[in-house]
Amino acid sequence: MTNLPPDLEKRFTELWTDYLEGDLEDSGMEELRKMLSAHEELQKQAIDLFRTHRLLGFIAIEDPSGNNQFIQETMARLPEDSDSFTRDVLERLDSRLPVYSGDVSEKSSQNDKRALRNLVGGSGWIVAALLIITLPFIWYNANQQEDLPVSANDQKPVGDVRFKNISQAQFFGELSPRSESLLTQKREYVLLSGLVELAFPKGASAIVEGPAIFRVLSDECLALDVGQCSVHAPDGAEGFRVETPVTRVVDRGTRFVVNVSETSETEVHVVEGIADIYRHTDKQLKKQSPDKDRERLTEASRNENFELRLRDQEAYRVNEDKMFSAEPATFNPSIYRSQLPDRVVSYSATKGPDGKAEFLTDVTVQRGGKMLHYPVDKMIPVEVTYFKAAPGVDSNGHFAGGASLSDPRIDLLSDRALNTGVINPGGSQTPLETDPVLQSPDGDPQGLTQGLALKFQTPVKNGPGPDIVFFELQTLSNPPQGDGFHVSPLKFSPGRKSHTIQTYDLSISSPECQELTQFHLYAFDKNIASLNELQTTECTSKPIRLKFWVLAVGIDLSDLGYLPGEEVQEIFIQDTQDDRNTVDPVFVGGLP
Amino acid sequence: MPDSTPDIKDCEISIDDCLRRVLQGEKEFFEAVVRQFERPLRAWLAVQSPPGVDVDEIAQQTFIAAYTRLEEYEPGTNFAAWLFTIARYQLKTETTRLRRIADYHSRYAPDLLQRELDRHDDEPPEMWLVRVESLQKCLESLGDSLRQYVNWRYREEIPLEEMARRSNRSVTAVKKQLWQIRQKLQQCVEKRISKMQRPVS
Repeated sequence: MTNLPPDLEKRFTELWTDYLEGDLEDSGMEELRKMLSAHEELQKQAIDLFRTHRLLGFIAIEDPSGNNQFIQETMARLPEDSDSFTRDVLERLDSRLPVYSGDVSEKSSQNDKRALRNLVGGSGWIVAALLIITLPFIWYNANQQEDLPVSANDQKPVGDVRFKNISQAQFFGELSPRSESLLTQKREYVLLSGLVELAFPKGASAIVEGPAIFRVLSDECLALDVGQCSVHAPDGAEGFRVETPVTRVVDRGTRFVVNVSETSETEVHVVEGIADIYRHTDKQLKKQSPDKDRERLTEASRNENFELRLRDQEAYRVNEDKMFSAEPATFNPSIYRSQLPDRVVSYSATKGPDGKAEFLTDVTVQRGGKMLHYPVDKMIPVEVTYFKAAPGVDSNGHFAGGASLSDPRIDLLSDRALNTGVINPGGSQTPLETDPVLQSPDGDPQGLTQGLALKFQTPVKNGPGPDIVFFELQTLSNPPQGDGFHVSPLKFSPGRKSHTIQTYDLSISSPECQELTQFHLYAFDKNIASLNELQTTECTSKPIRLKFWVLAVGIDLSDLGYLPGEEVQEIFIQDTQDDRNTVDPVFVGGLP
Repeated sequence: MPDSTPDIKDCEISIDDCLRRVLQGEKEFFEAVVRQFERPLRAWLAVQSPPGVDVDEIAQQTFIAAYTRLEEYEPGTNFAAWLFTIARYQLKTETTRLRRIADYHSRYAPDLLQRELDRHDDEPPEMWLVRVESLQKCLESLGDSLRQYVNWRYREEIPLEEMARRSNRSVTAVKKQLWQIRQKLQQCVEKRISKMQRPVS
């Protein structure tokens, strides 16, 4: 009890409760501030209650698995060694605090690290205290936008070769780079899957397809150790070359494809123009070649300075295992890629209170080779018309939502919020080949098809490239490429088919993929076998503290067998049920 | 094949042993350090941080900073005190950053609150673990209906309007109820702590 007038205490109770609940308006805040300034007794009470409030929050989220998660996350964030930490800090000092940059050159970083250590070790507590203050600050700021492991592409780039476009690219041991970022010369890039388009300063471009290992040797030279690339060198870019372990392909104004197998066998297909192939001389290899092998060299390759000019629609295969050989190959124009596939390129979203993605605002999609921009209010919203989960109770529930559920609940998929959706529908390992069964004549849900039926507000026309955009939420412990799903016509007819999506255009490793703001999952105590049950069954919410990201993929109605220009109003979604993860749609929209 | 994972439990005997092993390059021994101090550190940060601060983020930054600066720690001295000093700096950096955000004060933190939090930062950090444990005991002694409010508010984080709907009361009544629960718990914790601190006669 306090000795304060009851009215004052009552008002303080109201204001401080509102403050703790986040409900206090500006006028109330001012009143509270004055009240606290005037009464020390209230200050003490406020602090005590604030701390109890915070401890209650701490206890609520604390459980053994939560602690383990914290510990594992902390261990994962530790730098490899102190040297790398110091190096990172010095590099960040270099880029973010120009006042220090004169002292921190790449060449002298080792000396600087030692100097820093000596400074800490020998110059007393003032310097140490300064470092304690500044290093965490620098570290903190440097990490504000680097929650995910950074791409190794952030090594200091040399030259002016850029990643122009990226499609579903997965690199070994690093995140996918951002479009328009520079490549580091002579650094090995291991592209596990997907495609990247490299832009060279004089206008040449190369589309590299994973799996591939490549390096940029100069502003006019790409080294392809294994994999395939399609090169276009327009006027002005003549002389651009691709080096493989056995050849050097020099462009003379052309479009060509270079394919290098794991045994270094190289095929060159010239789609248009002229390309010259030279033997990639390797003195060590020549020395090791026994004379008897040399006798078997083809006529063309007897000359160690082998060179061959390829013209339109010609192909050649070059090999150098124990001996050098070169022979014509069957020309295949279909392997040439003039552009990256149509896809969802990026999206924008408003930020929630934690600065993470909340409401979708627009999507950029490549359709028919053109980059098109769609504000969310121009997209065609969907309505959930059917839902059936897999047998059993899904502990993650079937809704992602805010602190309370909207009414009707199924609107969570059509609203613009990326942290709300109708999640974990049922599915099938085998995609549908006939119409899904959505109604049972005897009312028995047993024979009904698992999945999610969606109806667009107005029909979606099958245009070039993706016609529908599909977003889902995903955390790091889920498949980084996204949860696979089948998309099928609701009504099958000759030529129509299901299409399976296993890799999203924007996966967790894509820099365009955004971290999701807070949300809740809504779980049910029973299996959900119908839309009605989904709408009406009591469910409990659980705030989610793990980090989630929003993945996106485009759906091309042509992949479902629809003809160009054909209109589609309904589709059916099923999880692929190929692992323990289930697809979590949070937004689906048709492109106008 | 023998298990090469070090026996982390060994470190419970001496945190300095663990730190020594970390300095020798056995990074995995740092896990024992995190395990031992994460709870008091997070509890301390929870009560010491104004709204808007991501407590776990600051706690992780503290451990990372401690790991990278471990050579500066003098074995045999108080590691907890050293760790909490780093945490204090980390928190200060973050609150400074938040203060720089426009209208932060008006939205979240009366400056007085922060000043008072700093002023009342006189309890040893390990005391906050005692407070956590006392609060847990006090929570257990709450009646089911009152504990339900705590669950709604802190575990499920549902809005006041929803709590009012579920309890069939007005939002104002729910606010008042929460106030009373916090006060009750606060008094219970103080009582338990003063009992603990009372000299045995």
